[in-house]
Amino acid sequence: MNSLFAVILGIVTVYLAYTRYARRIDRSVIQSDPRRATPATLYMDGVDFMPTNRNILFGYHFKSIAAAGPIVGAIVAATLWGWLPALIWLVVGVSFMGWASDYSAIVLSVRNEGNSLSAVAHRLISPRTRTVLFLFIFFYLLLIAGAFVGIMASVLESQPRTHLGMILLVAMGLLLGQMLYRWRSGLLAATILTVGITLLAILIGPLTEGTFKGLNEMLNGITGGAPIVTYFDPTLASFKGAEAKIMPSLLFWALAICVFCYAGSVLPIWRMAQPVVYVGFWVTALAMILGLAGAALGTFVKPEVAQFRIPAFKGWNPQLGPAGVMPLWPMLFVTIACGAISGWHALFGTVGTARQIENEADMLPVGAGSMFAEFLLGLLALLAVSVGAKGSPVAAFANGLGGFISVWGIPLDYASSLAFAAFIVIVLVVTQLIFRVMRVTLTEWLGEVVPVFRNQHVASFISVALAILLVLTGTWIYLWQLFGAANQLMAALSLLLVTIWLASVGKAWLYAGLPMIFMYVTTVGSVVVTAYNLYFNVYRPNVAAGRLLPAAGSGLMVLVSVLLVMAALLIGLDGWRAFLKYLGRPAPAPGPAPARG
Amino acid sequence: MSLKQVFESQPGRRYIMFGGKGGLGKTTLSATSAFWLASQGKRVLLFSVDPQASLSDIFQRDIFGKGPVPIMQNLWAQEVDADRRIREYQDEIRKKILDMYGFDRVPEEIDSYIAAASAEPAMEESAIFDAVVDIIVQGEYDYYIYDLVPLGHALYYLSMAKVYDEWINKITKLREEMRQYDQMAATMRRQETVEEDKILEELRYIKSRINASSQILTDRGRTAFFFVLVPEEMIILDTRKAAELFSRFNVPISGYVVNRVLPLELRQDNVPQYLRNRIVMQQKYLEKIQGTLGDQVLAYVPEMERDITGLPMIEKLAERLFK
Amino acid sequence: MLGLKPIQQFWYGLTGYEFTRHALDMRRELEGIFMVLTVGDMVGVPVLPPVYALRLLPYLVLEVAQWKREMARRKEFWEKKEYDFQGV
Repeated sequence: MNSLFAVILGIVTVYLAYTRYARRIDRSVIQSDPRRATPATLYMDGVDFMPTNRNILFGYHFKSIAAAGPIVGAIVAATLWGWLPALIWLVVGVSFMGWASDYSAIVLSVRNEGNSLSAVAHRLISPRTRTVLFLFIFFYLLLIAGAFVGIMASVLESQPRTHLGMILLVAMGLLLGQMLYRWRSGLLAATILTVGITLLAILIGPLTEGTFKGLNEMLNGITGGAPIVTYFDPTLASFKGAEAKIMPSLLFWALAICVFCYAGSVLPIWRMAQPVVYVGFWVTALAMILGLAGAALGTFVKPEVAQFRIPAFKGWNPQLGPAGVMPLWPMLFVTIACGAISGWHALFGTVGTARQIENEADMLPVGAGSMFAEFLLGLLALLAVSVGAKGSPVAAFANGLGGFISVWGIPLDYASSLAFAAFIVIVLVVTQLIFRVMRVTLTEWLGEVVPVFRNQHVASFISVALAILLVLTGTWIYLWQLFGAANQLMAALSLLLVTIWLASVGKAWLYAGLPMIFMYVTTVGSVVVTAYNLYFNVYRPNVAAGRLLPAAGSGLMVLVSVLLVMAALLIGLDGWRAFLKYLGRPAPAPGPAPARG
Repeated sequence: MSLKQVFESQPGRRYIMFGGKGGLGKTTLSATSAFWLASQGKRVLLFSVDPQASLSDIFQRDIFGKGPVPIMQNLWAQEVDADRRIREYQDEIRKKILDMYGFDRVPEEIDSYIAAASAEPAMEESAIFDAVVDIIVQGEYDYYIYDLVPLGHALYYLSMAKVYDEWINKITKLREEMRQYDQMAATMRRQETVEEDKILEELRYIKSRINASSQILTDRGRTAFFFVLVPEEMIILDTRKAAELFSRFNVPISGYVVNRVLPLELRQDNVPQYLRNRIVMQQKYLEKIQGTLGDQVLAYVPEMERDITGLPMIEKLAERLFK
Repeated sequence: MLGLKPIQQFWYGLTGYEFTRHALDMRRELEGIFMVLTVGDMVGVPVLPPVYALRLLPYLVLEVAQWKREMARRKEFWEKKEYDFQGV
């Protein structure tokens, strides 16, 4: 299998899915009406509700879903089960579920006066959904924080050549914020300067490798080479033996990331979080575009970078070592959330876009279109890891992507430097936002009851501490899958809302209902499997061996899984009741929308 | 120093105020000074915002709410009808809204806000404040004589000016920050620079007016404030307290006028014991006043045989006061 | 086929648009404060002397309805801007 073929396959499939399926739903089920007034035109306030040109909106929406999720998911899934299941799931998933998620969430919001889905949930399902959402939000954030900090720390620790680039990224982010908001510079000039310097630092990374390697060694020397924490990780059973170690250098990088995220959380958003995301975007975009084009062209120009080197299919239930299970169903579907489904984004993100939809005819290209474009990102990650095939999933990915980029004449060493940096950046930028949101959530959630949480530093510190705890637990794979499950459950919830709404307004609800059921069942199943894995294969051995921190962390994760299952059951119950209720008669609609003037 | 000397030696002091407790003769003194100045050839505006319409009484004509009314050569009198002014102001605002947006009617919630404003006590105060600002910053007349409502009004006015000024500053700053964000958004969108913020202009206009008027009132060179009192114990005490307050606000007291002095000649006539006692007590108070205020007292105005109403009586008093 | 304009717009959406939105967001927050300080008594907060509040009123007519709606709308904490983060 080579990359060009995969790219062609991907593009053809999504093209067909968009034109044949998605468009049909838009036309006959949703019946989008270009003459109907949208909330943007009705409530126009120039800030939130603002009719925006569809191309601008497409760019904006695409960027907000351009995600670390599909990338990390794809590379892990390919490593666990081979590239074939991952590819099939990516394609099928986005064609039947991925696009439906964001698109429907936008439709729901547009047709409900621009209300967010959570507001609609309150009205359509039950007030109890609110409490469930609370739970979801915090666990989701906690899990993803742990997962992303963990994976970044391990990459940073093992790749000293990325360090200079990352340091400059932060510096340039701060500079950009200053330039734009205080010095009122033009965006073009500021971009060229900050992004240019960052790219330069990334590309000359290999030259600085020696220096930073020395730093790692010095740190590890503090404990004389002994690990800070050892833990039991069955996923490493095959190549490292299940006993894994966390060295001081890893902890150092985890802490460094957390310091960065802490700053991003408490500083005003325009100072650091926003500009760093912006600079990071350019780095990632460059790497991805060069990579995707290189993947397509590679077959002709430089065939050795274009051949898949990992097995197509590793089996229905690859063993992880002592009794660890990883069945294809349900675990594949939460490892790689069909490349682009994000429950979080459907619930909390789409409303921003929905309030800017100028014309109902834009809903499909913006919502579904972005998802399909997003699919390409997941596909690229899959190609890269299948071609790279060296060492850990991330290393394989970077190697593969570096290979694609090198098609353009950049030496492989520098190209993979760029690829590694792109990976770290795409994860880093979202992680700092996550900590910010975690702080806000803690404050809002507990601030009334425990006043000390109202202090932003306390809330940020607690968030960081919990994330570090999860990192020190090891067993990153379970963390990732739990996160995937939480994400998918949220997606199921949003699809549930859409289904109920469709039923309540008498529209055909199958296109949303079926994916919802699939996701719900799969996800709950996956949480059960993960809980099983965690309890028997991680928690118990850690406790037996007296390893405190990992035991605490894995215990916490088991608890979270149990709560997730309970929350899911509650939602399922309430949702089912609401569905039955509306199936009979329509729900009170929020007034007819006037025709456009 | 006499009242006449005070006026003549400081011709730059064009803003005159007579203050003091109610019923002590401020209006009489204001009218008399206005009369005298007018007869010296100066253009004088005598105005009041007192709803009791005492100027109308003293000039024996209805000038309430009629703008500056010519009383005689060089003398105009104006009684501000605060209520009417508020109503007219509300209508002005309504009209402005209709003009700006081309509506047929003012939107209901906006209209009820405008209507409700008149019911607020703060509205009347601020409208009066604004009326005084209007008159003061005009500049047409040579002299402006403000017949103040009882005692603290000048102070209240000045302290309000300070508070209003601070508020306007805060709000202006806020507005300027907003404008910066507008400019930033415009830059991103590659638009022309944003048009002038009309609200900012308004705020600056309001601020300059408030400042202008409070500057005038605290400027020793341009404002003279005369305190009116009568020789009675309570009044003397109140006056002293007021004087302290005034100095704290930098309102320059240019002098005192003691009114309603019973003529000493009365002692000689065959008058009832009661009256004799009163004169003796008055003497005591006069000495007290002399002792504490000394030559800050510019005039001792005698109790006249009739109420001072009508131009002839005013003329008579003016002759006595400004000889 | 795609003309130049749509691509430019797409690119703007990808890059500068978020900054524009953020600037407008910040401005809007300030505007909320401004409204309270000037015509706040419309929602029960007496502040600027009425005569000057009225004077500014004509310029605020269009914003008033939307501001009042904004003040009255019950917002969950997860509807804050931060929760719409990119990247998952």
